[in-house]
Amino acid sequence: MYTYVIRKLILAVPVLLGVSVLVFLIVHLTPGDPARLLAGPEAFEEDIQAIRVRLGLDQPLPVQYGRFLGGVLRGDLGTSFRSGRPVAEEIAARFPYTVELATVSLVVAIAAGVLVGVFSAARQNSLWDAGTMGVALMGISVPTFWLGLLLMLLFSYYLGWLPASGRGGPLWTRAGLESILMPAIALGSPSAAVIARLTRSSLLEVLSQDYVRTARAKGLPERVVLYRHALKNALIPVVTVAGLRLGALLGGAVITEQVFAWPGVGTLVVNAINARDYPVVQGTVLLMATVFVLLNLTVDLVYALIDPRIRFD
Amino acid sequence: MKTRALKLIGVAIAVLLLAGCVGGKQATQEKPVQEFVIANVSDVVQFDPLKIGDAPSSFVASFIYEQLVRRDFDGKFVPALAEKWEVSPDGTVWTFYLRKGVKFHDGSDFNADVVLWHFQRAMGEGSNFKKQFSTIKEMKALDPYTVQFTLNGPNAAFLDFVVTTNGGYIPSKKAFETLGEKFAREPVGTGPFKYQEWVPGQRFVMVANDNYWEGRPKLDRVVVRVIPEANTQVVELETGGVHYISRAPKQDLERLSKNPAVKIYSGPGYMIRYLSLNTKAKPLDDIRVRKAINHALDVTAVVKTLGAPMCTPADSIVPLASWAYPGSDKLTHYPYDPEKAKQFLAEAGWKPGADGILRKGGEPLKITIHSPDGRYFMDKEMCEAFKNQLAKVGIQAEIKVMEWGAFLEEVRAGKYQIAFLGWNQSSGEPSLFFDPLVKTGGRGNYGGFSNAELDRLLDEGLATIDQAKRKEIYTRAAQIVNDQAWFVFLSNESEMVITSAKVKGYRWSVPREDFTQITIEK
Repeated sequence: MYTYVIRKLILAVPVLLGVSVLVFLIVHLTPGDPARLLAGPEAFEEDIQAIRVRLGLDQPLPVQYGRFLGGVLRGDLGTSFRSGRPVAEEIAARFPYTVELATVSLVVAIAAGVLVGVFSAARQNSLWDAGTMGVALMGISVPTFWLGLLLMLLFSYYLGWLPASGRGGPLWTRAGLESILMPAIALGSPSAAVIARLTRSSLLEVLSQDYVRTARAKGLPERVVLYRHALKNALIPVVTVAGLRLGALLGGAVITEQVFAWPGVGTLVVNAINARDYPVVQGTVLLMATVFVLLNLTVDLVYALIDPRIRFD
Repeated sequence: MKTRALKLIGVAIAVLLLAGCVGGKQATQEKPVQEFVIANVSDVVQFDPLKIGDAPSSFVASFIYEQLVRRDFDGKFVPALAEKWEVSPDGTVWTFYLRKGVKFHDGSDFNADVVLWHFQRAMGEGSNFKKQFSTIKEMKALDPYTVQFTLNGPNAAFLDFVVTTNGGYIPSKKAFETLGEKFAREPVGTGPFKYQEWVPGQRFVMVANDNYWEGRPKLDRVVVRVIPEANTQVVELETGGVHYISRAPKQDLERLSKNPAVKIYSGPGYMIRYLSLNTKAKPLDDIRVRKAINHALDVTAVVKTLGAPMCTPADSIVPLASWAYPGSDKLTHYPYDPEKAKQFLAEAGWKPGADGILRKGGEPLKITIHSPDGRYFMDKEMCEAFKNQLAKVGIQAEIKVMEWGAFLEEVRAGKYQIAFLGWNQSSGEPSLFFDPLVKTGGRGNYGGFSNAELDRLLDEGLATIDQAKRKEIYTRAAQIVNDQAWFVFLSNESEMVITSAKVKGYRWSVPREDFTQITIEK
């Protein structure tokens, strides 16, 4: 297994290198001049040129990429064009909040998804089944932006139960919990829907297998068959998908963070893109790519842990 | 083993929830008496005045830093850090008499030494406003509280052009020398509020400056929260999460104006909106085509329907709120008249083809309109309406909606025919609009506009101190601009602030807003 992990980690290097080239090219080839945006549309050409030189933007692209990569290899992501702070510091101030939101979203998604999936599978082809799966389909289709605003309208505007936006504090305080609920639901609902549908189909498949028939034949109550025997096995693919969803949640939090003014990397990166703050965009994307690669690896390993049929040989 | 893990997770969640209930009670206790919460669209960036280029940072800087002079509610200059000032009759020598006894938040003294240090730094390397400040030739301290600037040439607009800009905010020299990198993050000024805390992406917190030279502000704390979405800002205002917002979607404005729990302050700002007709691009190099386009567009109707309540129809490069606005009767207009438009186009050699589109030498009359996406109020929607109106006179228009950064790059390079543009200034000083936008080679002159008579007038305007004479000069200049039909003037966009009705003592006008007298009703 260790050789497997090491091999995977080595394979991650070219992936990340590729990501660094891609993101570098995308941000630099996108029209828009960081110096001009920094100085404002009313600025003088001379001042803009001075800023360009100060930021090293007058250098040829390969030189700029070399500097960027050299910095990354030394663990230095560069300095934000706008704030003048180290990019690592900017990201460190925000990333924990994105992780927090994504994790809570995932917990919400798994809890809701598995419950609904089991409920639906146990009543296969009933009206309940069709209804819940219909709702799940909506969960996948509804844009987070819209869902977020609807939640805000309901829980903040009409009911006044929850604060409309912002992060109220750490997760273990009441203000913190209250503030994370709506963004977590908005962000997690597509994942919940995916998990619900997957749980349902996976459970139905397991329920048609011989050992379940045996369990039933033994005279075990349906509840025990369902929860003790079938669900455990049915959840194996769910674990995989949930792990992969975490990556999507981390990366997909951008819009949710904008709507709920959540202080994560999403709002950071949106501002950075608008201002063409290249180092911040590059650093954030590179970090996300790394997290994604590591998550995938973790999912592979966890898979082996919970499914004894899988071995890394 | 797995069930045990599940149980553990369950217990953990329960503990978290319980802790939340306990922790919540503590959190609600320590609230200061008078706390004012503001929504800002994006996080502040940094506070070295010489590098402030974004509106959110500039806004927050105005709580902490001050300038030598400031504008009053009526737009006139009044003393701030300078008690009074004088200008030589030829407009080149400016003398400022500094206020005595003013201290920075770090306890250091404000005096001529600090002023000279700041302006020197503004003119040096690393300043983003070097060019702007290079209008200063030399400066000296006549005594510890008197500073004299000698300019490279007469500049009647020195106060607007340099002193009251972001670069004119005077920070503590001691802070610069001792704080290092923190100088740009923990601003130290002389203003009514002091820096307390900055949590990136969340909030910037200020507290009252007990020693403010004009008296301690009534508020204890000002919290500036980052709320990017306009919709979210509105919900926060209406649910009491914030007291002050500066943007709202069009569809919410009408509802808000009927809500007694909020107050809207608004008025046309020094923000002009116009279509720029590129004289370097065919067929707009022909003044008859430019006039035809002016006649073809029903600007007033479009601005009134789409732009209300944020846009006021306008007809000049000079903002309506400026002292230099010539008055509508003095300016050439191109009223909505599709027939006249067709006539001008026919004179220019454009004849209707079989499909109704005008042609010259077999080439159809096609024009692309560049529009930003929401940078200006209802920009692309207005362009859409213009496109239809142009079609009625036989011009086939196409709209190219672009993201702001990309838009700016293309338009500044002169790669456009018609572009929806705006120009914002913090004062109605006419030279801040004319010189960049229409003077030959001006920095905002993207359409190759050039007129010798106009250039001469603009030089004369800057060299004239007397305001009545200046108004005459700029009226003539405004007439030339309209006669050349370089632009389709659309509107002046309004400055807007919406506060909760619980906010008392807030004073607002376009040139100035005052937070120091605010109290919050419980």
